[in-house]
Amino acid sequence: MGHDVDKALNLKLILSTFEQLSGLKINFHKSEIFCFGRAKEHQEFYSQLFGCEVGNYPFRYLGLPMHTRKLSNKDWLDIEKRIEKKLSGWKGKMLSVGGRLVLINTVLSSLPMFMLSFFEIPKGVLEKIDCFRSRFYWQSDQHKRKYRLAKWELMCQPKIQGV
Amino acid sequence: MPTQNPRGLGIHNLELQNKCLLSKWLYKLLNEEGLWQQLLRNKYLKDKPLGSCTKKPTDSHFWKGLMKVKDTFMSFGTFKVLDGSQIRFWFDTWLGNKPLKDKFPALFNIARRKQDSVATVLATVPLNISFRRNLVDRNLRDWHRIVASLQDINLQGERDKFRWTLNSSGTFSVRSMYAALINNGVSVSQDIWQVKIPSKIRIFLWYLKRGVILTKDNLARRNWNGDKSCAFCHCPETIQHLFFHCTYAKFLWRAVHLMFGLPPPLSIDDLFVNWSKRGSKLYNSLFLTAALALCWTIWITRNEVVFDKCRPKFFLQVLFRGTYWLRQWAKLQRREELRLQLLLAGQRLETSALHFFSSNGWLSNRFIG
Repeated sequence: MGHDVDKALNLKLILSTFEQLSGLKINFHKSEIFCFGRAKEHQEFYSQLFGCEVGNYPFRYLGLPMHTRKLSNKDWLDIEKRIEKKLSGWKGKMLSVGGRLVLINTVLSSLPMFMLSFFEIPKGVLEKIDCFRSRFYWQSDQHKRKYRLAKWELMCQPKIQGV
Repeated sequence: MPTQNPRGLGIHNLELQNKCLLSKWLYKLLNEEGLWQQLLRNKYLKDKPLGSCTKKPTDSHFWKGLMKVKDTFMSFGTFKVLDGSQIRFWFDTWLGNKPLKDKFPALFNIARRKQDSVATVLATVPLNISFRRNLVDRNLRDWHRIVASLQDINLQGERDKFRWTLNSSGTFSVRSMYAALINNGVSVSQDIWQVKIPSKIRIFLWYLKRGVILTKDNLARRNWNGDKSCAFCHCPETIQHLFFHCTYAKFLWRAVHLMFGLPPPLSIDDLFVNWSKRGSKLYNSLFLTAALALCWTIWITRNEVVFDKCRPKFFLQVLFRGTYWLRQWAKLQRREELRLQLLLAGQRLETSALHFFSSNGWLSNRFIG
């Protein structure tokens, strides 16, 4: 819709008529309005007119962050946080290497899968996730570096060729 | 060490996984009908084949991602010609198992309008294609061959179908593409990951095979300063020494030799390549399990001495520990007969060792070792 006050008023009218006719109520507090171009300068006015908040990017739709431009590393932060949250609850020291490998393969690797199936992953995020996974496997942290007995690339090779 | 292929622990490579997951959209875009397919086709493809689409700066993040994996994706499939509009005449694989540009590079070099789709080329009689030079000799022969093979192709009204060549069913799967990308087409099945032992022992075995477990010589290589001698004797500790030449190892392998008539393995490689291969596949895994029980015992005993500062165990204790692991791992075997075999082997090892020691005195390990 273009930047036109009359059109906006019309839309508001249509929406409220729809409410009256169908008995379905639109929750304007939950809705958000996005303004582009010249309308951006008048977004305060529009948000008051419709009685809803001005929306911010990226917003979530079906669990995916939506943006008009490319997703930045900051938008991927969500995934990293989820991995960190999982890791904080795990006592890696109490698990055997086998157990840790299973956790990495089943839990940590599958957390970002949903995002991966829609967007190309930025290099930095990839490195961060690999860092989390390898750190958990070798049980090293900021204070203590552990010996790593194999290269990460090698460990990522499939098992079928293993040993 | 025979390292013909890199071998790993099967941790997912997320970058490749990302590529495969994105490819799934491309497959659906080519083969399925739906609202989003129509939307994308109208916005990005128009009448062009998918192959000749390129990335534009104004495209959405999603589409740019798809464009990046497009070429890899297309290389793993072939087109089935129906209406010919989605297939590039020279670049895509549709006639035979190679793109025409690779089959007839000389012709491709002199062709005009290289990006044309099959539909455009086949639209008229004679074919709607032109070359920058007159066709002579070999080129003419090649061209006749192409034309001859085009005889049986009839364009129909439906959209072209894309057949995925990595699956026998012809449908796309992320798994097959991931395997192809990470193996580079090589898949060597090794039965060692199928040996029924706890996963941490398997990983220990993986380290052992790669020669990276932290024996003192490996530690020294990582700038560790300390006493480099073996926990049991005074020789420098290496994997070779600890598992095959040290008195404890010698004793264990010798015991196996005496009870079962199997000569001791010479090295880790020998253990995996020759020693454990003495019969059917099933029994190989048994030999490997038993050998690993011994290796694991040695490693555990060594660690106890190094970290807990206990006195080295008596020989018989070490042997019994080995048979203990054997009994434990026997429970993991799926087949009843294998389980019994392992239990029996452990029992035989125990009773004959006990018998030997009781008849020759408790300190007679020198004879056996």
